[in-house]
Amino acid sequence: MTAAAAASGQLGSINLGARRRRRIAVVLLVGPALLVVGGALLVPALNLLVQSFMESSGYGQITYHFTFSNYTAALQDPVYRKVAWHSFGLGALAALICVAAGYPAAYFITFRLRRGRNLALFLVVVSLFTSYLVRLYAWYTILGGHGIVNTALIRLGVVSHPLLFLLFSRTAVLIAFVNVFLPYSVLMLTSSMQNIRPDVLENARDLGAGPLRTFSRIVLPLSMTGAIGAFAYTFILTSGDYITPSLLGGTSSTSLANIVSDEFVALGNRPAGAAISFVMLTVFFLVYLGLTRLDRFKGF
Amino acid sequence: MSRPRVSGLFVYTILVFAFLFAPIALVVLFSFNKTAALTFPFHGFSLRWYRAVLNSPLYRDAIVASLRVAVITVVVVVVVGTLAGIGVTRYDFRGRGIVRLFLLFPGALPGLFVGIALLSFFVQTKVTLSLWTVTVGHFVYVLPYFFLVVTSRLQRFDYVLEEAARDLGAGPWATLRRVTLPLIAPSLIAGALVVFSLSWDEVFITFFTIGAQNTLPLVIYSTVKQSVDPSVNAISTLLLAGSLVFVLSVRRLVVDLQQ
Amino acid sequence: MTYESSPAMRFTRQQLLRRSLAGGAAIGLAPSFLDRLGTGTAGAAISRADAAAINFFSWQGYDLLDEPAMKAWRKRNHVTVHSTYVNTHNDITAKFTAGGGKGIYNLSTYEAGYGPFYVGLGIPAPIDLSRVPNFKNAHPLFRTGAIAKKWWNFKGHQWALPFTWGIQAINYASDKIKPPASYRDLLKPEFKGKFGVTDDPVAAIVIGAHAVGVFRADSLYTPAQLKKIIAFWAALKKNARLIVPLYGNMADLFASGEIVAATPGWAAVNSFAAAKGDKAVKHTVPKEGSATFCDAFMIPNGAKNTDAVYAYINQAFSLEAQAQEAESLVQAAVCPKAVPLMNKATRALYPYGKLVEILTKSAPLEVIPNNVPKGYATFADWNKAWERFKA
Repeated sequence: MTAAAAASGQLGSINLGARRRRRIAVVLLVGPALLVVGGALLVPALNLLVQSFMESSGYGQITYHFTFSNYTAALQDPVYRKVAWHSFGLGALAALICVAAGYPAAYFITFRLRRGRNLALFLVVVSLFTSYLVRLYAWYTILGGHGIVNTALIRLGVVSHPLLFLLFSRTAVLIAFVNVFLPYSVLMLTSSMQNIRPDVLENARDLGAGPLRTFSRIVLPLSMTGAIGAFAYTFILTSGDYITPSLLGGTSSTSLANIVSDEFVALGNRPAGAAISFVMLTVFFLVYLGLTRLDRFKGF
Repeated sequence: MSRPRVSGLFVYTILVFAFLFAPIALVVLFSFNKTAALTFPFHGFSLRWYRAVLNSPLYRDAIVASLRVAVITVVVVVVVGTLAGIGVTRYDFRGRGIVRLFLLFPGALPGLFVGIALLSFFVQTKVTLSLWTVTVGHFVYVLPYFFLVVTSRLQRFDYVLEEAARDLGAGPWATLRRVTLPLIAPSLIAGALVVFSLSWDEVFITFFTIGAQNTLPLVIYSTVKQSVDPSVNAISTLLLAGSLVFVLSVRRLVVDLQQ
Repeated sequence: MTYESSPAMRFTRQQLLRRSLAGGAAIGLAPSFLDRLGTGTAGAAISRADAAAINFFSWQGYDLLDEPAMKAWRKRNHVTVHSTYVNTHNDITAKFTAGGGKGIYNLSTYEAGYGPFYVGLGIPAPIDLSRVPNFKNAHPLFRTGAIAKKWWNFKGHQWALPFTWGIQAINYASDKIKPPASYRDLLKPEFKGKFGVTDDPVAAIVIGAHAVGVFRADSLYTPAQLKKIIAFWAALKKNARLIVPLYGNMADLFASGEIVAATPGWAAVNSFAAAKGDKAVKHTVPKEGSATFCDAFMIPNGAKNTDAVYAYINQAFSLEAQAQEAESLVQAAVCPKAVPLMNKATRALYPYGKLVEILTKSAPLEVIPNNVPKGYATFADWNKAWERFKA
């Protein structure tokens, strides 16, 4: 970063023409993205923000009368809180597991594989290309009462009755989440670990550092951006997921995304749906802020 | 020098891959099922679902529609997202933090919310709903994720190489084309693949922004209302095979670049 | 050797250029190439001035793509159908009220009780009955009389044309258990963790009303009664294996042996499960009664190309088509003269002989509450209560 700052600082101080050129460059580079997001999403999002402070008066109808009630309901309603707690909690757990479980595999792929590395990454990427919903159905066969795991456990004599909690439970949802998002974590971690020069690790080992120390002092801090990215990505997409909890969650099949959907689609209550969405947005934003603080983490 | 831990990590990685591919293996297996069952017992091998899919205009049209949307989304996002990422990481300008946040925030909104917001935008601007509006929706949805990948790669970027190029007389755009882009290409490709898979599976935004068309995930999701049958497995297997071919050809590019 | 001119960089740059050109060309050509792969109707905007295009927005199956009579008719008249499918009835409400349907879709449906609700929201356009002469084939119950005047023909207009109906109660695995005689049987210990509760609030609340004994054909329940109904389902949920998200799931759950019963049910699940190798799934109506649904074709406001749509609907009411619809949808037809045209299995699905009795007395149409007077639960209250029940 310092090189860039120095470079752009140098550029900026050269002459006014360069500064103007820089400004044009920035506009040209960042403009298109801003235009589409700003044009298509900003105005309606702001509109929904305004509506989140209004009252709903029937399906799809709004009375323009300022109120905080949607937000107080979103934050205080015990049912919403319970669902939010479970959704965010499950999301955080899934993200943690994905990062933790992804690290050893990413480490192995980055530092221990030379010729096989591309094949391994390629396999990871391929696993992303099966339709999400179709993959979820496979869990019935794996975790079900007459499924693979239970049949194996019974045949091996480990249990006498099938373990019913494996499917249609939060456990099943967690397993499915990890299965879907682990590839992304491995990819992001590998990508950021490729930045670590292997001779640094060798030096550490020569100096007597054990594997745990090497990991916590060198690998972890240097791959922190990858870990943060993997965690944030998994956390945001799992907490806001609708389909996996409803198919695999059993009697705990409601998620925050469900609630938002109910408000918008079933009840036509845009103010409430928008309020909950913005509360979710705030939570994600705060988590992301907190995670970026971790970026400065330099080891235990 | 002995490395006893290699075997441990190796076994672990194998297990991880087994875990990742277990559902996929089952998807492929059941695509050949003789009956419409998606769960055990398996009733024997048959190609009926492949025949059904290839003969069904519904599925064919849906796959084509999904491909169109995904491919266009990926291309536009890669171009626009890379430019924006470069702009935000290389240049220090006022409001940079806000721009960054602005380009990231749609990723934290529920898909349904984005879908409804976009629908109201299209209604107010009197744009006819079609696969193009779906593409806009997908673009807005996936840009934050690609942007994250690009910026995190650029943040680790060693600008020494760019400086070297500039010292040798290359202008900024030439430097971009010949130095920066090839070096960050693997991340861009990884980001493009991530974005493709996100667009490919997207249901909620699509539902609200689509006209009288269907995409594959919409069809799959709606058949759950009636009855899912292994047609969806057949499609997934076909696409898996297609993506294998695609990734294989891209992989060669990555290998070449890394040399 | 400069950095740029080093062989490695040159090689990769050329490769990148070549591939991006190829890629760009591919992208540019792709749509037309891919179009040729498909039937070319993918993404066809309405501006294609396809005067014989039907843009359908509703449940999969109701676009009548599988019925031979409809297929033949479409071929003869060069009519194509473009469909977008929904997963819940609320999807129809949501998309139309958000403005995402006007001028795009020209054929949709609504379930009986939603009629007044949708008319209030301005969703359907009045139907010109003179353009659907085959509608006369339908049983008088669906055309004139008290029921028709409540859901399809009121305020001086015909808003929709009912074309199919069905019964919802309990699906069960007949090879594993005896048909439950009461909904409350599912509360017994022998059913613990063995059945599913379907996420269908309208059917569930109607069935629940039967089960707790407060059933009213106009679906007006006091908040206290609604609470009782939900409490019944909460007790069931405690004993259940899962909340079945959609009916399509149910067949897989039966076939894999995860559940032996599910309610609210749907007779069509029997044939879905049979296609999956489980021929033992049956549908039964316990002593408390069942919920009956009836879906009707509606033409959304602002629809274009209504000529094609009217002709299509008219064809759907022909006796031959009605018999085939009953078979492929696994639901009941509304035209009595179509019943003899059905095969034995389809005819046996529904008690056509007792049609009037069922639809007026023992299992009147499940309806959502409309024009709710003060002190009674509204449809929003139903949805809210169900949301809380699920959470």
